[in-house]
Amino acid sequence: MNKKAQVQFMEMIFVLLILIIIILIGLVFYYSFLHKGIKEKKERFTEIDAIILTDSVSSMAELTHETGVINSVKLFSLAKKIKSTDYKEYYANFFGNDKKVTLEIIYPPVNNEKQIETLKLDCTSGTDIDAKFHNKYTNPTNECQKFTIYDPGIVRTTGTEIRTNPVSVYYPLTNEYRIGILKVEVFKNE
Amino acid sequence: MEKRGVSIFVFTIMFTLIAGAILLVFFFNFGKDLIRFSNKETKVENLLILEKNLASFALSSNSEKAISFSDNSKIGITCDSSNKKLFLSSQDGQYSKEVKKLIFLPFNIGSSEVEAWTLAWNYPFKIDNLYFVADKDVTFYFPGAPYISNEKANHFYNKFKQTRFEVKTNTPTQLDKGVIVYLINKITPPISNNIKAVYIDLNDPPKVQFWDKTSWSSYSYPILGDAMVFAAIFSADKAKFECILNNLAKERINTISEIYQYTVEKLKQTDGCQSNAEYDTIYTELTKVPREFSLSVDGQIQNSAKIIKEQNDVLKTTNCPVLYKSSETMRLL
Repeated sequence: MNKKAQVQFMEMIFVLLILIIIILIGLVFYYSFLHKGIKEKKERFTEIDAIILTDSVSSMAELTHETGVINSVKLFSLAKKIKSTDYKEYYANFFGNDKKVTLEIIYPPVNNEKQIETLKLDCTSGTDIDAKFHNKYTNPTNECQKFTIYDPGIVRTTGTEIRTNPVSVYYPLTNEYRIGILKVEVFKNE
Repeated sequence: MEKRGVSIFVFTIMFTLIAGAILLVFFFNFGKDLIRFSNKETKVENLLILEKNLASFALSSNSEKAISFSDNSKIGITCDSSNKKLFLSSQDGQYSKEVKKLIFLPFNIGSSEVEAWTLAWNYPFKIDNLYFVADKDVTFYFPGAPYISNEKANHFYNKFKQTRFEVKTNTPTQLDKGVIVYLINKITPPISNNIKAVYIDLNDPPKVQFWDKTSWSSYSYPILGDAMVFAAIFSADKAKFECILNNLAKERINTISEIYQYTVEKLKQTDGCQSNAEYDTIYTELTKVPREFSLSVDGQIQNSAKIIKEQNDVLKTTNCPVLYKSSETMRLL
């Protein structure tokens, strides 16, 4: 190969190399935007899922007393039902295994109301639900500040999408109404 | 390697062609994948849009809305009787999503905008919301309406007429697309793939019969509550109605009955209500509901529902809390 041909050959290789590098950079950018787009879509779908669940829970026949009002006694009934083996799978499908649903009473405040999250008395978590109903719920000793409606058992403080809805809560034993906050926490996959 | 005087041009051309071909194939596949992904994403999004919109108006016991999709959507409902599951699915079957909602479509969705209507299914207490969805080109025919001499039939016709679905009172031709609803007497409907027909007998116990392509099915299914009349109209299909009724609806009735059994026990804790007989009667009837639920029109579950409603009405006159609160007048109970 003569010198001129060698130079031409090297030039061509160099141009192709530059071309390939430019294409590769383009692809990297394109894929990163695509990945970002997919991630945003996933977050949007997760958000839609949380909205669907929040609206669905507020209107669940298992919980409502009348349209848009949650019956506080039914919270105990559902908690017992969810724990029974026959219905575990049904409600896991309904709520999804990445979502925790809770209801917190905010007004009028319950007896011995606590501000620290861990100290708030949750009357529908754990196994002694009936005991809590008889000792902590029934008037005049109502201390049930929180009700866990569904808990998949995931403990995570980050990567959680939270949606809340104010709801009216009916206490049939005393014919009273309170205001509560329905909270749906969606645990995102990192 | 190269003889003196031999040009490098041929080598360059070959190299460029091979490199170009590789790049072309790569970008072609890349584009194809991108289009496929984008289509799938649209389908998933459309299913989610539909479910989200249905969930958002579930709070109401009776409401309707138009739902728009990003493009012409093809959505159907599949009921899997063996697994007791209902799926919303894109018609090509590429994507499906399990739904826990009782959704009834007379025909698969094929447009970018649909009408949706929800009604609370009370029997006698709220079991769930029923969701009715149809394209705008689907017409509901009520031959002979208004039914002056039949109060019940007129009530259901008027309730349907108040919705935004297309309602006509003539009999359709074979070229039309829709559901014929016979509320008084049934006749043979025009035979066409786009025409479905149901006959709803509103006498006690109420029941429904479906047109089965060439003849009326010999089997009648029970109508459990007022909202089920519309569920029968919107399913317009024997297999679909039977599958949803015998699986998801049955599951819901049983679940809610059991929830109410627990609730009755707790309501009895109210001061002065421990010896209340109404709670005991309600409890007994609630325990019967799961075994009384059947596809036969024997009226057993109807009796239990009636007793629960009567006893709940009695509770309204006492100081003891009622089991459920409902303002709806039920015509079929």
